[in-house]
Amino acid sequence: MNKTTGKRPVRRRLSKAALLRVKIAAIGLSVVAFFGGLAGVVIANPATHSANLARSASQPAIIAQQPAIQPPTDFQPQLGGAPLVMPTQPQMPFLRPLTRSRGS
Amino acid sequence: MDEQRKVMNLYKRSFGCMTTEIELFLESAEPQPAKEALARIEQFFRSVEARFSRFLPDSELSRLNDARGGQVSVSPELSELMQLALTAAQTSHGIFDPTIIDALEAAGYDRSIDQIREQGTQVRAPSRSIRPGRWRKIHLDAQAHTVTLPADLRLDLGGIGKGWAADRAAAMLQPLGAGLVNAGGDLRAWGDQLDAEPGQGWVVAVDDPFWPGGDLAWMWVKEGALATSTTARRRWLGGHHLVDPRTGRPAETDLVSASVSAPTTVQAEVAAKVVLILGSQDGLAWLAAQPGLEALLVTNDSQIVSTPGIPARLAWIRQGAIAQAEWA
Repeated sequence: MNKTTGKRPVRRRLSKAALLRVKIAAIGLSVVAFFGGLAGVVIANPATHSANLARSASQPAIIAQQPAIQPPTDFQPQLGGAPLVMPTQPQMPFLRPLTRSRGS
Repeated sequence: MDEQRKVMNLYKRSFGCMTTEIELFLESAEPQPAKEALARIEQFFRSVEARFSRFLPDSELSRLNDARGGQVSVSPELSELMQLALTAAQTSHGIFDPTIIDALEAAGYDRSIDQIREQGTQVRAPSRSIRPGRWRKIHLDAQAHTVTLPADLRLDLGGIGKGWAADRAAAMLQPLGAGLVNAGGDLRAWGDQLDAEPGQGWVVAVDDPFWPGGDLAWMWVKEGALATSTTARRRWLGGHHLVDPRTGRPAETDLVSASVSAPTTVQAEVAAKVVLILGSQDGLAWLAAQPGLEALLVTNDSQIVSTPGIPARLAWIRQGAIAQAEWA
């Protein structure tokens, strides 16, 4: 009850169709927010993003050879204490190693 | 030149020998001579194992060890191999020591690695008789091919023998065309891999010690050798095969693997072992005084350390390492 006018407030009801549209919009927004956030996290991580891009662009055959067990990812290359600059792309992508120095 | 390359084929032969896998590659336009040459090299490797294995009681090396205390005539090949081993001991200030067989056996390496894997082994405390520098007591007359071992000393030429065999095999195959000999990861290459640019050499994968069978890097090997030593292989409960002569025990080192490129496989094999035992700091300092050697090292905490010449030899390195380098 409104104390100044003494009138009962008018309560507006949404039609069923309008309510359905609101629900659909809410679900849509949730989905977009979820996947958008996920993509943002991936792109915001430059190491993951650049590594993924470089890997997919340059080394598909090597990736296919890799076993399911993932290696440690905390390698920190150094050159006598200074950061090591190495080629990120194979110099000759079509030339594959025929053998390996596997250690003895 | 183009006409020649079109008809070139790559011939490969692989076999088990010296308790490891041997791979031979030879590029040739003539199939039959190439196949026959590779078959001869397989026989050569088998003869080296038969003559220089410490696990075979009838080998020339075992007979020399049995005759310690007196002067023994040896074959020119064993004389040459011993000369290389003693030079390596001197160059490495005794970190490479071909006389640590007692320490190896105490560490559990008393049979071939295949037998150890099947049957297990026991680790004992090293004997007090194991002292560094005993290799200096060996008397070798490289001209007369005679050797005198002290009565309390035996020789193990396993690792350096593989490298020596790879170098000899490469010398035998070289006149027939470009090729590569890989003796259990210690390899020697000459000429260029098919489809490589002239002068590029061969691209070889380097094993990731934390990820057996996975690639850590691809390296160019040009008219030279590459060898990797690691504590991740040939190990058993309580030990591994890389004994530090200063302690007589398996080396306690901050490195899990050392890959060394060098002019010859013997040099690469010895240097990889020495650097691994010395650890990253002393190993890099030692390498700096050795002309023609470059190394890619992996530490126990997964760091990669290299000498300055390594980046130019890398064709590729695992992307995880690059990402860390760029964003560290």
